[in-house]
Parts: sequence; structure tokens; C-alpha cells
Amino acid sequence: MNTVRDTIRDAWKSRRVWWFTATARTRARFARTMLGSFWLGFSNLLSIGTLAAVYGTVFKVSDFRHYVVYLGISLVIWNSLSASISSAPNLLEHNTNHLKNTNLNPFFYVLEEWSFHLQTFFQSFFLVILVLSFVKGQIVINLLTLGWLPLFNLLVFMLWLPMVVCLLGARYRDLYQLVPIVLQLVFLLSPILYYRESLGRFGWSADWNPIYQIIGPMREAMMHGHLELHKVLAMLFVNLVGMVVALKLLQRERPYLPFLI
Amino acid sequence: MIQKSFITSPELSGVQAVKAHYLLVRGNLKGFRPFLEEVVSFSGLGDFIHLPVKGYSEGMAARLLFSVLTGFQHECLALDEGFGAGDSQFQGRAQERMREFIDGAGTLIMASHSDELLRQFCQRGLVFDQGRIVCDADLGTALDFYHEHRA
Repeated sequence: MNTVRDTIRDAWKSRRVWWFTATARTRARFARTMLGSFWLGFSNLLSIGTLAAVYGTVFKVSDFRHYVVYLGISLVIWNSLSASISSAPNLLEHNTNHLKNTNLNPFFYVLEEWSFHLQTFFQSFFLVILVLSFVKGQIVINLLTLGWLPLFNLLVFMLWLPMVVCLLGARYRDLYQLVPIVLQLVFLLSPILYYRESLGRFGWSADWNPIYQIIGPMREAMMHGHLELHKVLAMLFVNLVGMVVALKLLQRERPYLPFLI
Repeated sequence: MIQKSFITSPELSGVQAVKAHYLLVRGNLKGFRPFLEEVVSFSGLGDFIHLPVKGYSEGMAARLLFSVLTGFQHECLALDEGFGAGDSQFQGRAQERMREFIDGAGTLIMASHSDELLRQFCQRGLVFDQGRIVCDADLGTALDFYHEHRA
């Protein structure tokens, strides 16, 4: 029986493989397109521009430039987070053939999917940040000086939460139906399109919203050069616990996976 | 090495599937080009190696997988009778490679219902019934047991 340490060691040894297969998937996705992976950033910019114009008007924002940057950073992070979580419930199902016919640890496919989402995220994120830096140049410097710890939290969160969801999704099929609904609700309940202050007496809901606790500190660091250290460290702790729980769950579920999918 | 499928998505090409497997075994791409050429030549896929695996026939996929798996010297290799796919020329090449593999002190575990194939490559036989080993003996005894209890 493999231990968590063995799983991590094997994952490290095969790091070039899952990174390569994820890169190849990204390339295959944009094969024969003129703009290639530029589409990733471009589609984000398009939604940021449209949503900023509509909701900036609906909410009658006083500082439109500030709102565009606020919405842009939030949305590009949200899009990557929600894409990685929404693809998780049927991740193992998509890899049925591999899981039943090879002796690779299923963690390999979780890592491959994670790499795929990381590559998508970074390609969109850098283009969006580049464009937003014309509106507020400070965000690039803030990202480099203060944003790396919240960014690390985001990347780890994008690994363990989808991993838990995919393992539970293999056993409890209701998650296939539930995850899109929950994601939609979380999006509407998170201060992404609107400012946190707009929640009024429901402001506490943002404090207990783990996805907002990933987006909020990163946005705060980038926009205002302020690192909410207690929140970032608390999230780092949650991430470490989440990672251990996810790996333990994988160890427990691994023998049953071929029969569940 | 127990593998009955590629580790890559079927959307990816044969070259990418081979590359992923090469990286998995070797950890780097040193010597990959000659390895790929050898795999393409052995499997007889030619330019089809550049097409997505999802477009391959079962025979093409089996030929490629066999060529990749036996292109390395593994300590232990588990195969089923699927490697018999393909034309008679490929089957001849495949059988020759299997002998080379066994001569190279590799342990081969083969799952098959073909007595002929098993007699060619195996000395020991295991008979399974509903996931349990019901006979573990020399091949002749195991085959006799299998045929007696098949009904």
C-alpha cells in the first residue's frame, strides 16, 4: 500500500510527464486556430470589458477605472477556479480507460488536469494583467512584491479542492448535478461583480466564503499593495490541511476507483 | 509495467503518446528521436503517428502500444493477447521481440485464452476464477486444469 509520501515522490518523479501531457492538451485545443492560446486571455478580456460596462452602469460606480481593475482581477481568478472545480466531478470518469488499464496512480491524472488549468490560468492572467496595467500600472509591481503568497494559495487551492471533488464525485454521482449549482451561487455571493461593502449586513458571508478568501487577498495585494497577512496565513493553513486530506482520501479511495467509474 | 492503454488523452497524437511514455520511463527526452523512429518503423504506422490516437483502429493502437512497451527493457511486463493484432508480418515481428524480451531476463505476465500463444512464451500458468487464483502450476498442468474446469 502506497503512503502519502510515496504518492508525492512518484508525482515528483513523473512531473515532466504530467506537465507535458497538459501542455500537449493545451496545444491540441488551439490547433489550427489563428490566435492560438491567445484566445484564453482574449476571451477573459472580452467578458471583463462587457461585464464592467454593464455592471459599472447598473451599480453606478463612481470610479470606473478602479472598477475595471477590480472586476478584471476577480474575474480572471474566478474563471480559472470555477473551471478547475467544475471539471472535477467527471475527471476520473474521463480517464476511465487509463485508470482501468494502467497501473499509474490516479494522482497523475489529477496533476495533469491541474497543470492544464494552471497553464490556462497563467496565459489568461498575464494578458489580462498586461492590459489592466495600462489602467493601473501599480498592479504589476504589487503582484511581484506582495502577490506571490496569495498566488501560491490560489495554485494549491486549485489542486486539492478539485481533487476532493473528483474523488467524492466518483462515489457520489449527485455531485455532477450539485457542483454547477453551487458554483453559480458562490459566484453570485462573492464580491466579484460588486464591492464587498455592497453586502451590507451580509458582509460576514464573504468572510466564510473560502473562494472569496482566495480571490480577496490577491486582489487586495495587487490593487492596494496591502497584504492581509492573517487571512493569507490562515488560507495557507487551510490549504495544507486540504492537501493532506485530499491525499489521504485518494489513498483510501484508490482501490475502489476502477469499480466506481 | 502494466499498461493496456496510452496514458495520454485520445485527442493527442501518436507522437505525443510515445513521448509521454518515454518521459515516464526515462524521465527525460535524451535519445527520444531514434526511439520514436524505431517505434514508427516497428509498428508500421508511418505518417499516421502524427494523427490523434482517437482516429486509430484498434489494431493500429495495439501495434503502437506494443511497440512502445517492448521498446524498453522492463523488469516485468504484463500483456494480454491483444498484441497479436495486425497483419502476419507484424505478428512475426512481435513474436520475435517477445522472445528477445524474455531472453533479456524480463519477466513476462501474459493474459490469454490461446493455448498456442501461452505455450510459446510461458512456463508457469495461473488460472483465475472470479478474481481468485484457482490453479498455480507449470503451464501444462494449468492448461489442463483450465480445460477441465471451463464448463
